[in-house]
Amino acid sequence: MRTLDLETLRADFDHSFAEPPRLSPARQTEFLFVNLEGTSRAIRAEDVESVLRHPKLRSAPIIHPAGAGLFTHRGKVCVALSLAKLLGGEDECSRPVAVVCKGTGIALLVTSLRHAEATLERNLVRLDGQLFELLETDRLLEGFEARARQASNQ
Amino acid sequence: MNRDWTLSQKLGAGFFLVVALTVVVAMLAVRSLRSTIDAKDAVIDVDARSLVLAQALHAARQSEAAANRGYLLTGSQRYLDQRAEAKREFTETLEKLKRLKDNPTAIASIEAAHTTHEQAVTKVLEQRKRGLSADDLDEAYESGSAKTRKDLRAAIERMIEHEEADLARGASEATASADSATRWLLTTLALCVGLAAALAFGLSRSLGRQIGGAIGHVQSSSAELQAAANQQATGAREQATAMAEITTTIQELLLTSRQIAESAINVSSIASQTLSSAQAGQDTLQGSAASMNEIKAQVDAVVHHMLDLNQKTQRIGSVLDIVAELSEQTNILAINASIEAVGAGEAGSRFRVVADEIRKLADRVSGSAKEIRGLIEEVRGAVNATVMVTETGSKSVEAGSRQFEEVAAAFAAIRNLVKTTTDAAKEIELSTKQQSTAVEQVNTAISSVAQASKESEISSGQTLQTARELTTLATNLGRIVKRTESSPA
Repeated sequence: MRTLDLETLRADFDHSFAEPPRLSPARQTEFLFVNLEGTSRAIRAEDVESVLRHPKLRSAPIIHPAGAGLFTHRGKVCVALSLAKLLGGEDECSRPVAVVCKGTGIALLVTSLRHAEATLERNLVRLDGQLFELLETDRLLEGFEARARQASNQ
Repeated sequence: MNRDWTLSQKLGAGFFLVVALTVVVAMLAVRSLRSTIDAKDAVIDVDARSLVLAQALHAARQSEAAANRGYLLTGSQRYLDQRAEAKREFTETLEKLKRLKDNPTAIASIEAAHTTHEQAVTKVLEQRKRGLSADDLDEAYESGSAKTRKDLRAAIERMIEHEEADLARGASEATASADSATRWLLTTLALCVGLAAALAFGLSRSLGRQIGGAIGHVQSSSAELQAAANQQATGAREQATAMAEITTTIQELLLTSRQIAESAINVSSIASQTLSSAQAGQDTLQGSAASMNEIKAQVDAVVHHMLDLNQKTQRIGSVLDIVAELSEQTNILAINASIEAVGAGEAGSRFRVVADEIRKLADRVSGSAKEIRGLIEEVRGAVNATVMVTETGSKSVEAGSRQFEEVAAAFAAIRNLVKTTTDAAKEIELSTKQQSTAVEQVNTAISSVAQASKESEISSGQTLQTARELTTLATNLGRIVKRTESSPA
């Protein structure tokens, strides 16, 4: 029969709050952490073609409510979409940064961004102990890409 | 007697009359005494001297007879000398009788008898010289000169008897004159006594009435005087008490005035010191005003420098904006480089490292720029706060300058007021000295008055005592006068 003493109880108590056993180190992946109004999201760096600072947007008849305008990038016309509006929020940024999604001709307008290596844990990205939602640009721009390309072609 | 006459006039008139009567009596007495004395003188000077001379004449004759007998008996020259001496006395006495001219007939008879007797005696003496015997001489002497000798003695005796009779008659006449004078004097004295008695009676009645009236007046006046003296004594006591209180008050006032004088001197000294302090304060204020102007200029310079610093920080901010923008562009460029490196795969790993370093550098620049911006903002805030504080300080300095000017004006006014106060204090000092001197004089005068009041009180008491004694005296005099008036009645 086990004897309950003070040292044993203290050891059991400390053991109950001990860190979980370390797993094998996760693979570090490069992400772009985009900042919206009050929130931050992570985008895989490999999904991004380039980043433009304060693109000169031109007005165009874009049906989607998140459409902000068009701009020229590397000889191609890109459609600028407000990521905040696209996520159902309000976009109040006056000088946005455009994140051109690779192979889409679509640029997501964000307030600011930064580049860092982080760990992908399921659908969340851990950076410096914080978890960020991972934006899957393919899934986000599914169906919209064709319309955008069509609109840009028009 | 006239009732309008005064008491002294009446007394003077009475005494004059009495003295006049006395003079009359005295004159009568003198006249009587002179007549008596004349009579006595006549008796003594003429009759008595004639009688004495006659007796002396008789004695000289006897001496001559004795000398004649001596010579006849002895024949001595000494008797002749005695005879010559007796003859000379006889002749001189006879001459004195002639000068009296009392009884010339008897003198002539004596002179004739003496001449005859001398002739007879001379013959006998001649016979004695020729040596005649004693018996013959006795016979010749008795026969030749006895008759002449008897005649001469008879003439002298007649004259003596005549002079004795004249002397007795003069004595009786002098006695009669004295008796007459005595009667005159007694009569006049009786008249004078009667007149004096009448005069005394009249004067007594008149003076009694007048003195009685005066005594009545004196009694009423003495009663009034006693009452007045009582009131005066009471008033004098009250006055003495009041003067004592006034003296005490004046002495206290003197002490107070001396203290005031000392305080005035202190006030004057303090006012002078205050004037000096005010002058020093005004000088200090003028120096402080200059310092305030310098402070104001320095504060203005500080404000100017702060504004310049603010502009420079604004310019630094502009430059920092450029730096931040460059940092942001560098960051974007580094991000793109990283993206390109990711796209390049393993070949871009080294490029990714460089891009990552550039990105970190851009991050550090951005961070530094943010930090610098924060510092600049803090500096600008501090500068703005400093400018505001400095402007507030400048305004405070301006307000201080104005207040300094106001204080300087106030100090000038204070200095003028203090000067006025100093002058007033000096005047007060002089006035208080004069006042102290005047109070001392008043104190001396009041002391004299107090002493006079005490003396007046004593005098009032003496007056009261005198009034009482006067009342008693008037009462006694009134009794005496009534008794005197009632006595003749």
